[in-house]
Amino acid sequence: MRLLRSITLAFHSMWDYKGRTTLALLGMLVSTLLLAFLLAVLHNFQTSVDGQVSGLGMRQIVAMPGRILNRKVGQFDLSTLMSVTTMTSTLTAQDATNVKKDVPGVVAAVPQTEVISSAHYGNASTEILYTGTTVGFDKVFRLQLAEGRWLDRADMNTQAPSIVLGAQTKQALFGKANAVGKTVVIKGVPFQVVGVLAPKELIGFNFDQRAYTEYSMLLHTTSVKYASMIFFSVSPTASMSQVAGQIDGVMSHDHGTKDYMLVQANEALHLVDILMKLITAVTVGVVGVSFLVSGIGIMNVMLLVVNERTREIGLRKAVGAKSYQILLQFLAETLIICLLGSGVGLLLSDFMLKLLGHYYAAMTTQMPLYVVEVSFLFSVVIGLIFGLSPAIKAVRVQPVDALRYE
Amino acid sequence: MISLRGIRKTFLDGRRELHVLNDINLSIEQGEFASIIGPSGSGKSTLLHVLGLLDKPSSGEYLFSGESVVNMSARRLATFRNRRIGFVFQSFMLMPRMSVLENTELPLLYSHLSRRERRQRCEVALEGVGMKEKSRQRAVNLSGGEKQRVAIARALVNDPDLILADEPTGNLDETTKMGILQIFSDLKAQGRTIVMVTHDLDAARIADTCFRIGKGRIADADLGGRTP
Repeated sequence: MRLLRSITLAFHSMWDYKGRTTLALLGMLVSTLLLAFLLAVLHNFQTSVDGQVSGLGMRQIVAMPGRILNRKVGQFDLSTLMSVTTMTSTLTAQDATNVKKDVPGVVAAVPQTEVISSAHYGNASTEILYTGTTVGFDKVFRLQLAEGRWLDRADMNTQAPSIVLGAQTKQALFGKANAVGKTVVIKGVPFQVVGVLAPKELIGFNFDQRAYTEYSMLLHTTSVKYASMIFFSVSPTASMSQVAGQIDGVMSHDHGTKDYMLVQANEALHLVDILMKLITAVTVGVVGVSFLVSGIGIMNVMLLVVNERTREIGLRKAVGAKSYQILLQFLAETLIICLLGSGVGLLLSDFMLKLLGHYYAAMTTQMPLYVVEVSFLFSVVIGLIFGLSPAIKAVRVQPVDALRYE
Repeated sequence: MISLRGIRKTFLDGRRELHVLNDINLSIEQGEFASIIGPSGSGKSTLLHVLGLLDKPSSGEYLFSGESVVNMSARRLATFRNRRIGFVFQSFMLMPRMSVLENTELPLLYSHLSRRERRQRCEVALEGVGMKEKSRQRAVNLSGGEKQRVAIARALVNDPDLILADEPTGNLDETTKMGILQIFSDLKAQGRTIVMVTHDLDAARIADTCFRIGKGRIADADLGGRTP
């Protein structure tokens, strides 16, 4: 009851000193806005990446050119990133075929390679990633078709080149018109469009600005000799690390040296997780300083308020207010300012998150509960720490001095 | 009801000691209206602060209804002031942004009364000083006389044993002053115990007894004609 009365008194006083209250509140608002928005963006980014990669199935292994120093399976951390040497690719479609044939745990193996090129249709042209891959690629990435079909065995015929367009490539060349059956020119070669992909959002990937042709067709029309990556889909019943070991065995035997590296999807996610934790820690640290600054700001404003209200404090004491009641009143004022600032900051950060989601559809826009909890915890701690000094100053006001104060 | 024996109050001004109250002996009975007159700097306000338990004497004994109050803890003193003493100040000491009702209610916020009881008491006190109709008005919009009426209502709202008034007519014009003095006369008629410090002889004359303070010492004062 007494606490409730202190809170009511605090609200009254804050209303009476609206200008100062707003100033004090602004600092906390901006700090919370920063903290909540950044943490929520990081959280949503990680959730989106996790969701999208999990959506593809975590059971993927990717072969890439280059080597990682002394890496053992399951030991993927930040230092791994700095232990990679890049190499010219020696990956081939034959590697994919050999692995698929020799490793029973691999249910699909598709190579991919690409060059940046121009695609033309009539007067329209656009820059694309001219990509070569094989029949199973659409299954590996669960691609949806907006028109036509994906590449099939018949498309291996270099005499009748066919192509599947990404959503943006189609839009750039054909607008809203149908593309299937039309002829697109890439690298001076006329390709018949057999399919158009539905738009696909996957963080770190670009499907929409590509044009996919059969792998051998790309080698035939460019100077490219090797694949940039090979994607292996692992059977749901097989052990990922065991299959990775077997793929490694086949490829190192075929290559005669270890000029590639194998990355498991779950390991990549683990790396994202580590990175996110690091960025989150840095964010909390930086925003912590912002909270500290706003706390000092609030303390200064409250010290001014105590000075301005010396007569009021003296009067309250003269008519019977006890020290703890004065302490509670001023502490409650600081806490309410902090909580209000935090609350408004959270609402604004939620709004900004939704706004961001509007422009980046691939990202989820949930405000995680822990962000709300952390924001309020920060504001309460700051309120208690920085509200104590003004409250103690108010308690020390002697009624007789205050009554003389003009 | 109150008894002061050998009360001294000394302030330090750098290294110099200022003896503001020197061996004050004073008794005021229940229902008595006493005025204390004296020139500026004579120690009137300091004496009132000691009487109101806002300031501790440097030495001496102060009995309030037979109870020694000199060595009470700050917490007990706060409760004592809240329940037994009402203050009226020269500069009114109202919260300008608060309403008349809220200003009157202030001492009750530190009691255990419910909101309803508090409001009832405020209405009675405001009615007593003719300010009930203006209870919703902000204090800042009141005239000087109205502010002092509200301050008197605030002093009465806890039904205190002792009312202390520090120059209650000091900031008022002649007409308004007479209105406030009339309220004090009415309070005297109700049997309230009042101590008023003033340098206004008109104000001092309405009291039952009058004391003169000078150089920190107190003596009976003969104002001639006393109690109107």
